Amino acid sequence: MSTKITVTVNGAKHIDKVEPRLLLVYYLRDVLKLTGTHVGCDTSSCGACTILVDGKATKSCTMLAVQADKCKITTIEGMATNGELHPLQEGFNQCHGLQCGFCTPGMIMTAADLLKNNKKPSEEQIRAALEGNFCRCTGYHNIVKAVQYAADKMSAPRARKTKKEAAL
Amino acid sequence: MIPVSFDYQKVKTVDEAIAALSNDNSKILAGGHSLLPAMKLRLSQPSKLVDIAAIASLKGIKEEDGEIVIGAGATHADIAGDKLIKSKLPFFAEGASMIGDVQVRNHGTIGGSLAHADPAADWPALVLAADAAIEVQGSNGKRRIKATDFFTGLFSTSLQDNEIIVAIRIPVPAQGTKTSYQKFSQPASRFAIVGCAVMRFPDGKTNIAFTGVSDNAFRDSNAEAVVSGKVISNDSIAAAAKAAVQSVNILSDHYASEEYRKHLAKVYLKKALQAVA
Amino acid sequence: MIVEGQIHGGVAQGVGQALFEGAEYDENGQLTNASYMDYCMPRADDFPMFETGSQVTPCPHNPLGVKGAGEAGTIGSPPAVVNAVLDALWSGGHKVKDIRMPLTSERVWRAMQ
Repeated sequence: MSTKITVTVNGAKHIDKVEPRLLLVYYLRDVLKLTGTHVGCDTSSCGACTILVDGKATKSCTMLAVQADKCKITTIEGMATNGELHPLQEGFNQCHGLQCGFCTPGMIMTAADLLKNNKKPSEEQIRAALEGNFCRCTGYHNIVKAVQYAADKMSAPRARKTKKEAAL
Repeated sequence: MIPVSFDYQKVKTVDEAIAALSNDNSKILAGGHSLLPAMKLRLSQPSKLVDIAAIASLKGIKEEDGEIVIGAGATHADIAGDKLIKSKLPFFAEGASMIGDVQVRNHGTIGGSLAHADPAADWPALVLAADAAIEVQGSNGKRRIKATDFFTGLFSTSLQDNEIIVAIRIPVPAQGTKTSYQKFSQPASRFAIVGCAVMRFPDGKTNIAFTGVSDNAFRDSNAEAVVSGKVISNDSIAAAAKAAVQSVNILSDHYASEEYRKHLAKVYLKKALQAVA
Repeated sequence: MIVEGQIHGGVAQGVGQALFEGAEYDENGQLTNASYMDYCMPRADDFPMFETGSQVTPCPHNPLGVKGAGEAGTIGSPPAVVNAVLDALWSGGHKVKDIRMPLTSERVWRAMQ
């Protein structure tokens, strides 16, 4: 038995027939070929598969594609606009927030959920928000810095850019 | 990990859901954060999932006729952030914010957690301490199950096969009621090794419930008897801790032996009583 | 920046080994903590920010004088954490000489009995 679903992924509408047991992460990766979302532990622990479903951070290995019917989904591929990196992506780049990079898409999507609700999170709030995302390389230090970088940039985008341009 | 094949039906009303459950091997899918991991490991192999996430009547948190009514489909995040809960049942908000992680709290529901009845889940202790009733609906209509009659053993409840939880109803606590939920988390899963929920009413009546300690969450009447109606002091706290977790089978696992778990239960009861003193 | 990042990660791995991580087997040789629900990976909220410092000396055994740096944090942090716990126990009057890693809360509690 397959079920028809309509989902909006990174602004594009997709209509597909899927088996009910197809996990959302495999729908994104295998059907839509959006391989930026990773499968890490596959047991809802590590957070590498985190995406936004209707704006909420979601472990896509613990959701069926059929449950996402009529939902709006954002994956890491939907973060940059017109080739310009999202402040979080820029933060991870600038602050050396990744080493192997496997956890990065999930970290960024979870952090995006945090920054939507909390424009100026404290270090402690950032660490608490990322408790469902594992990183084996960085010791989390530079990930926290990357999120702080993005929070600063997003709360004062113009001033920051001018300053940076002036420095160049 | 891929679950075995199953049929899927999305329903819009509770009646539709009950009709869809007629098949013996159907299961309800709410947030899916207990069920899907079990299905991926093939520990659970339902032939049909009935998705109740779109049932509007199961959502929402409100005060009605002297009760706080939490829809079974409310997520942990909904409850953690709700103004009514924060002001009238603060330990529900605290407990909800300690469940799993952000992503889990965004999807896992209170109804799903109660129905699953994991011995280390947080909600069972909280609903027990709050004198909650679990409102369920089946083909014969609605009924209320007292929280104290709901949890019957390891992963088992008094819920019948064709029944679904529709709401959790808690009598609005009198002004001046104090609550606390103290949890010692298993470091990997962040489930409770010990969770202790305490609700102390202005007249001194004190409800004490534990989760994580035994096969199912329970009210500790021995400990309650020590502090109920009496002043909370260092002496009465010590006496309550001494009386606590006496007549229950205490779990033992990789993270906490029976002896250590018993010790933790007493320590966390002390913390909770200090918080409501 | 890269070397500091390597050290941060190494410290975190070492702290994980000291406090949380261990493969546990039952008497039949069955691994009992085979998923992240039981095997504890350290998380962001288990750590503070780190401060790193370095003492730079050239290696005498190769023409460039270079050394590996990735493992340095991992080597130093487990004994540092274990010794810190033992020191805390000693200052509390518990003359404990060793606790097997990982220092789970139960192992520390038992050492104090």
